[in-house]
Amino acid sequence: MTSYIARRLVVSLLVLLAISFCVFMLFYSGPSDPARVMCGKPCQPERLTQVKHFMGTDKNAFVQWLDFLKGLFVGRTYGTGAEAAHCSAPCFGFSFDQRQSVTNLIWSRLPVTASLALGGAAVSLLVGMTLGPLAAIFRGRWPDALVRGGSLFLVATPAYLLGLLGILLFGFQLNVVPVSGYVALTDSPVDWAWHLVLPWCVIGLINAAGYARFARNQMLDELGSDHLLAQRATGAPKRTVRRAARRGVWVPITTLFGLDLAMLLSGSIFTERVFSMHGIGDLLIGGVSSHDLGIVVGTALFGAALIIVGNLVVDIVQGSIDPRVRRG
Amino acid sequence: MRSGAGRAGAVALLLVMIAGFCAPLLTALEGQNPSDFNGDLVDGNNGGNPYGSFGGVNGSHWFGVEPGTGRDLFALVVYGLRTTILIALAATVVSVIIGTAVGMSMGYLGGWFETVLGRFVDFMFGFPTLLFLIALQLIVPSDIPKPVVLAVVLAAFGWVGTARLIHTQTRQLAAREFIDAARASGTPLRRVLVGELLPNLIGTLAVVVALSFPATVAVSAGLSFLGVGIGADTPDLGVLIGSSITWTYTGADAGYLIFPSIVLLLIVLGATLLGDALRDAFDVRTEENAR
Repeated sequence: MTSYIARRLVVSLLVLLAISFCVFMLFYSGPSDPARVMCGKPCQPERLTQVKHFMGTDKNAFVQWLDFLKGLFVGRTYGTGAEAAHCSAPCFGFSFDQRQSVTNLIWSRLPVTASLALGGAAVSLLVGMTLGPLAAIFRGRWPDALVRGGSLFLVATPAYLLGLLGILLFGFQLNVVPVSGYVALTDSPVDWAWHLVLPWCVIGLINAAGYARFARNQMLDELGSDHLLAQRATGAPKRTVRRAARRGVWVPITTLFGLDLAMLLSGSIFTERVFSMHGIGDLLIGGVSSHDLGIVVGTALFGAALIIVGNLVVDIVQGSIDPRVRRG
Repeated sequence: MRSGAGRAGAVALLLVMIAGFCAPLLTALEGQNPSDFNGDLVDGNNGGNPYGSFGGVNGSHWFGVEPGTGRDLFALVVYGLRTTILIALAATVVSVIIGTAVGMSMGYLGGWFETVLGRFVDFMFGFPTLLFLIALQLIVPSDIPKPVVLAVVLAAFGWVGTARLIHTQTRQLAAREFIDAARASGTPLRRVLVGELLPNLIGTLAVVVALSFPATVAVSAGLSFLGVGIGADTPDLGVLIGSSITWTYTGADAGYLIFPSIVLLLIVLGATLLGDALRDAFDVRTEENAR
């Protein structure tokens, strides 16, 4: 087990290094010069050199990548003297536009995205794991048709459309839930949850479609399996058999859940935009529209890191449940 | 094709596609133009909301007008539809070609080639694609037309699913006797791939195209919706839906959201229904349909 974890850890680290390397080569050797944006107009050549030196973009992309990696572990300081800006470890870059480290920016946005992702994931798991096995039990009859049709519809519908139509119906026509904005959990737990009800449902329903389909098929496999046939042969009541089958569905679903959660945490971008919530996705889009390379690269790498860590956790959990995975 | 839902999906998709390609014809029929501003049709004292019910729907403005500018919404929707469809079609075609080439060579050649590419495909599969699609918009030179940029980046990230599916199918086919026979009789590699393998993958390819097209439409419109895709001056379904948010919050003009949304839903749902029916008909096993 230890060697399995060590192997997975090394692979994940290598992947992270590779991604960050490619990103730096792509973003910092391109024609778009972040110093030029900061320098302002008109931009004197001497001033541009100064700004470049301050931001560290006078070096080539490879050296900038090494600087970034170093900053992740020990932090870094931009410029010298009174103007110097410090970015403490782990430093995901610096936004010269907002004079803040990207780590701080991400940290301030994380509660919003985390609230959206965790609640949405919980709703999707709940709905998917209720409806999927139910459809399997009623295979070929109307509950099955309803779940399958519904999930097909939801899988295809873009999140932003569902969100906007939800706002139109529940927020405006029926006027039951607030349509936008985020209230911090520490300010008022009730308002926090109340503002998140609609976004949770949107994320939850869209993801639940996948779970329901998957859980239905898995449950059908389980119900047809030999060990449950044996159990049924002993005269066990239907409820007991179904409970045993449901247990078999949970294992692969946990894998799916871990990956989905990491994906959601790295940005429930559309939902944030639809409900005007300022999470990590909003940070990234703001970075693109204000031409802030530090924010864009930092956020994208942070998202990639989250997903890779999520994968790692899922692999380790799976490996500890199922020895076959370890050898594979 | 016996599935009723699949047939309905195909009809919806076809109608919407035709409407998109005939955009100039349809707007000429309506007698409007997507770039004409009609300041007299919106109420400047009421935040620029259109006069009349449901966003100003009437005989000469079939979907009403855009709040604020008074441009004809029907014209904007059909022209927007054309932009969205063309980008998604181009991206889908390119990504399916890349995915098929990669998947077939992986499945047929095997060995270290398959291992290395397989790792790469696995890696791309769990990649936060959307984050990078957005981030990339910052560094693409602004003199390349936005639709081209979108189609290229969507294709560059979109081929992975196709490659995975074609890879497994090719590996199964490559183990069959007719491939052995072709190889034993000295058929050149290219003819084995194109002449023997490809015809057997047609069903899978049809499913792949039908299912990846709606996903591409959703993402491409999504990027424009977020304001990092097509510029706001080009009619596009995503742009229209994105700019309708403000009017949706106040509930002032529901038509501005609903008309573009319905059209987008028709493409996405129609193609998905068609793809789902094709998948059943050709008995293709995709990821989520693993049994």
